Amino acid sequence: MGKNILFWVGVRSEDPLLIEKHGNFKYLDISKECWQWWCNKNNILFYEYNNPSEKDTRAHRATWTRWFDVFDQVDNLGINYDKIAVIDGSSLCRWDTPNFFELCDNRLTAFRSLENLKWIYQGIQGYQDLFPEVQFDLSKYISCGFQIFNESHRKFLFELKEFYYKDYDEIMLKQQTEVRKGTDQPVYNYMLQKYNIDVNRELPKEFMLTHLNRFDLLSHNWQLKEDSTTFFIKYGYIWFYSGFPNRGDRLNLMQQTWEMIKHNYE
Amino acid sequence: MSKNIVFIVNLEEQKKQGRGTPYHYSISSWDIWCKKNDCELFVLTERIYPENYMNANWHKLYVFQLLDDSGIDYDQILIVDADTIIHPNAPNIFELSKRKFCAVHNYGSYDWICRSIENYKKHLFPNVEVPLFEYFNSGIIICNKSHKNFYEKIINFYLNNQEKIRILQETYHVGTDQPVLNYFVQQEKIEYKQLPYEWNMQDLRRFEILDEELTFTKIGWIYHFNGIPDDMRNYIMKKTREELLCN
Repeated sequence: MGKNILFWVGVRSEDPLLIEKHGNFKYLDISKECWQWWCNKNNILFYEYNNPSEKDTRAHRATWTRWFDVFDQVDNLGINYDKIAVIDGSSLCRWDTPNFFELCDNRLTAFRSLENLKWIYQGIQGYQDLFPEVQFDLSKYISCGFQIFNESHRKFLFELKEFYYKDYDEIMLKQQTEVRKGTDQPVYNYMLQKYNIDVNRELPKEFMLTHLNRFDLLSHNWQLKEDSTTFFIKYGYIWFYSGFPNRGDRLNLMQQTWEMIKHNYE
Repeated sequence: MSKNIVFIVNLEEQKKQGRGTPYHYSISSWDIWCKKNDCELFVLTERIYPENYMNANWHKLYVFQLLDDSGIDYDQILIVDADTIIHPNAPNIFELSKRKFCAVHNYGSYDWICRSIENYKKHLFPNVEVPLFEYFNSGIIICNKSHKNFYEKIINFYLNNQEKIRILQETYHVGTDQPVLNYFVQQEKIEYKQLPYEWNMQDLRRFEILDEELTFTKIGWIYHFNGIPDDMRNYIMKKTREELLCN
């Protein structure tokens, strides 16, 4: 059996707007150090995705190109592999996170996205005309931030790529002007349902905590006053620093987290 | 032939004056749904114990005794909070149960949920673990005859620990029957099926779907109007009920 790969998405766009928006992408340094340590501990190949095939990252966001590049770039490694986890560089994992590859079957593994449901609903409504044949099931809507593939999913990502380039102008109009609800995620979800992809959404929620502020996960038990460990650290394995009111909060909160826990990774 | 039952506790409480004003919207929505799905609606409107001894939530535990005392034969039971509204076209929830104890994870403020789990563990269940993401909201629960003894155990636990539970409730404000039910499910190793969010859509404001367009009605089936001020609850339950009736 081949090795499992963590395809860590750490593209530093050269677009001045994105650089400013993401605080020069300094948060990626923290995420990379954390995930490299975890991969080493669990005998998983860490692969840094920082060289997208499309160089104009404003025209072709890394959130899109990751899906088109993942199998090609892993092929170029020339190694025998089993599963590939694609994960955003806006995440950190707890030092004792179990090897999630061992919890997956051969289905595409993903997590239900259940945060700002209005945003999700409007996103799906906004792209419906691109998929008139799909009666979308919102209860199956997944987050694109963390997924696990195997070779059998290569064809699906190829279909996604074909669709993207064929309907590029229309997708960009919706992405940038008409709908403005994310980038790849609404289309990706429609494609999953269009092609009846069997998705495993049964991995425990501990493996994908998002919108930490929305769900009051940045707090601790202030009533018992016995343990000041923040709830997301205590109860979650993988934390996504997304859904904050200001983009700058991501770096700030990732830095604070890392300062608290980095001694566990030595 | 025994029917499936929907059980609602509708008791006015002095401590929560006005809270029950919109509950009739809930009851009428369940009444319509029950008729469409060949279920029987049972609404408790009289107290078993006075409020200062047992609040309304704990009365839900008496469902088996009340049905037996009323001579009602039953198959499965859906215990629902009176601050919920069901969509008239919702599918038959009983068909999802696989005859297990069913509930929906408690979505919302994990600050409140984690304190609830930790505080009740410290003071009442030091040897029982409740995994955070198995913790359920007790506003929608499916059970059946096989759970009758389980509910009796919880009632006995309440009666034997009433004063301690009351102090816990009033000290920490992190739930009444819900944490105890969760601990009992784990302690008694009850086979439990978690239903999706669509079947108990809690804390609608946090999910940003509590709006004038009633976006929540386009997303799921059972709307739980918790975590909002009373006046907003009155308004939105009335509006929801009226719009779902019209459509």
